[in-house]
Amino acid sequence: MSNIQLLIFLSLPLIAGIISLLLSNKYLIGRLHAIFMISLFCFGLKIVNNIIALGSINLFNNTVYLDALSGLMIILITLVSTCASIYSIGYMLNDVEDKNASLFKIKIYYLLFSIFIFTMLLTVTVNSIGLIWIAIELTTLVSAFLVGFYNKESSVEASWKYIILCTVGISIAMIGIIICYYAVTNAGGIRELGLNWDYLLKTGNKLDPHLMKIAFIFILIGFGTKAGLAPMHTWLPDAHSEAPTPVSALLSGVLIKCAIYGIIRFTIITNQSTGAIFTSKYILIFGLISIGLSALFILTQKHIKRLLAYSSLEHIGIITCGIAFANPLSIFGALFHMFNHAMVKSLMFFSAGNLALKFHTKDMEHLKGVIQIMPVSGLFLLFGGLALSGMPPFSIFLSEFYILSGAMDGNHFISSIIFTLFLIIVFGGLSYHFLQITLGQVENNHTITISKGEISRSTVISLFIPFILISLFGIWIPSPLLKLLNEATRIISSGY
Amino acid sequence: MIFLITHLFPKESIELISNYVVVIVLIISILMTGCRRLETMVKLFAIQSFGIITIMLFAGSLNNNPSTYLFCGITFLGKCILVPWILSFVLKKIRINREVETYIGLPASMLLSCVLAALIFEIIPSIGIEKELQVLSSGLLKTSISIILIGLFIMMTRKKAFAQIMGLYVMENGIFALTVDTIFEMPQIVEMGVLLDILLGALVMGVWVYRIKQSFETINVEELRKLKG
Repeated sequence: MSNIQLLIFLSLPLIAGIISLLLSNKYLIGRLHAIFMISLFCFGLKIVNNIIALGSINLFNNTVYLDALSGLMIILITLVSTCASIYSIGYMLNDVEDKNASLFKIKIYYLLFSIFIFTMLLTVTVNSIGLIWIAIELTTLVSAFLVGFYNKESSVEASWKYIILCTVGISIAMIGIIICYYAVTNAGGIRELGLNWDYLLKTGNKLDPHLMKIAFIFILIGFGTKAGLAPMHTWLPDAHSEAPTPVSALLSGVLIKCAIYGIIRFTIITNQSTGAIFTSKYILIFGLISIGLSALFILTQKHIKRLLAYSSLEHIGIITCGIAFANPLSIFGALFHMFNHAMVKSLMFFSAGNLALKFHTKDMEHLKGVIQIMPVSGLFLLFGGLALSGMPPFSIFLSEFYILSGAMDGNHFISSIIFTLFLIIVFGGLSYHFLQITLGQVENNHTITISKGEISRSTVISLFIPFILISLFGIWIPSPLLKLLNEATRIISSGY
Repeated sequence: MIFLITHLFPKESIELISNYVVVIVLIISILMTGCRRLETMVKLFAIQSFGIITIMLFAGSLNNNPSTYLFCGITFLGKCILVPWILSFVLKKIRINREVETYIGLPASMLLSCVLAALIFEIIPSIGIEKELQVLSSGLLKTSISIILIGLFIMMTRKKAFAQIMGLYVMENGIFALTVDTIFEMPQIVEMGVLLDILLGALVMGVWVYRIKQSFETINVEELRKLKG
């Protein structure tokens, strides 16, 4: 594994963006971009293969640090962006907002999309908390344009909310980073390396616990804003519902997990200094509030994309709870859940996007019995909705089960009872909504105007990839992925 | 330049000057809470950044830290020239300059931010953090925390989207002052990246203020309330 390989890997999305600027054929741009993203995914698999073989890799004079945790994130980002790119081919040509999107707008879309993927890959590969901070801020700045892509009043509002809230949040995280760096210099650490992961991992136990506690709280609040944890989540439903559908899948599937990645990384270091009880207490509170709040909003939701956004809030809560239960089994579950949620949420956003393209509405009162009009998307929406709420044959059930049994192992009885209670409420809400949408009574005035059939080939093909993965992983996890998950679990639980 | 500063002035007078600069930086952020014209806010922000850079320059020269000069130069270029230039360009484009109504009256908010600063000077103990580098003023830590909170205060009480950006940048300056006080400087690559983010942030937020003006005909954030539940 050399510097050049990684450089090519990171620059692939940028090259894809520049090429889509140069082309002048609407149909060609999307297909070429999808090919680029597929090759990015293959390249990512190769890099992850190297990571599994070598354990951890330091590149570019210690600026890049790759281990199993970043490997997992690389797979997630490249996989979701591949699906989103394939979906974009059909979506951008049959756009809801303007039917014949101009060539210029499509070019800008693909350019921003590519830079967005680049910044997310940067987040998970760099070796210092400072650089992660910079990369996360860059993701906000780039994706704000994608959130407000349609330039309507509501999308401008969502994008302004998103940019201001996330920037303030991330500024608060900067205070935490400064305090952490102060703790390092105070403990006599090397100044140049003071923010590097691999260095902090070695010297974590020498850091002053009082300073690290303050730093951890600032970073949890700061990155938690970007991750959409509950009291700071208000940007999340707006941004997810106003963005173009492929971008919603990216935001919900990987962007918020990049912030979770930052929190996990910092938790590992704080654990070495303060012990796991302190960190898990705070993370658990945020996680439980997230699930509880999302349960309330899911029950009363009318807008299908906002429903999916609140379900993202719920799953972020589940992941943070899994990290907070501080037990190897629950951490394994949380990491596996990251993967499953990214897959199932892409599937759901894509099929919901298909409905929105067909019916020209996102209001669930007018979306009923869609399975008769769009058999494929409707069926996927039905199965995806059941998977999302946690039905057994799919992999989400498995990871939630791991998290819960980890919690029982770690004697977190009260919190796991609350956790299960909220999950049951969410299960009821989600399955009610999705059964209504797919199998409910069809409204008569719609069947006249809307013809039966799917939107385009690409919007259907992109549904198959995530669906096959979630049904497969519910039964069997391939051994390389299992190895990766186990190694990442070992890295996180090393502090306990 | 090291020799210039330390030879021309005795150490005591440099300490005195930088104490004055710290006070000026704090007063400027209080002035910004009571500022009605948005253009003046941008100018005050530039002066405030210049003040913090001066403090850093003095501290660097007293501690014989030559890498500071390059960083101070680049920060000056970014925070005192480019960011104010971008922001005043945006102001010219949107043609809105006066803040007519705020959630709290401007004199009252000035008074409140004074009280806030006084409280922080009272609460935060002056000792407790031992410094690795000799940094000049003893009040810089309290000042920086006051500036961060005053920045948040500006963001909360103003209705204009542009004033919220200014609040964010005041906060950013407070964090910069906190960096100078506690750790003096971060690893070089991180410092440069943060500066890049601030520059890009000014550009991107400027674009969005312009778009808000285009779609809503105003930059009052009160109008942005379509998305709920």
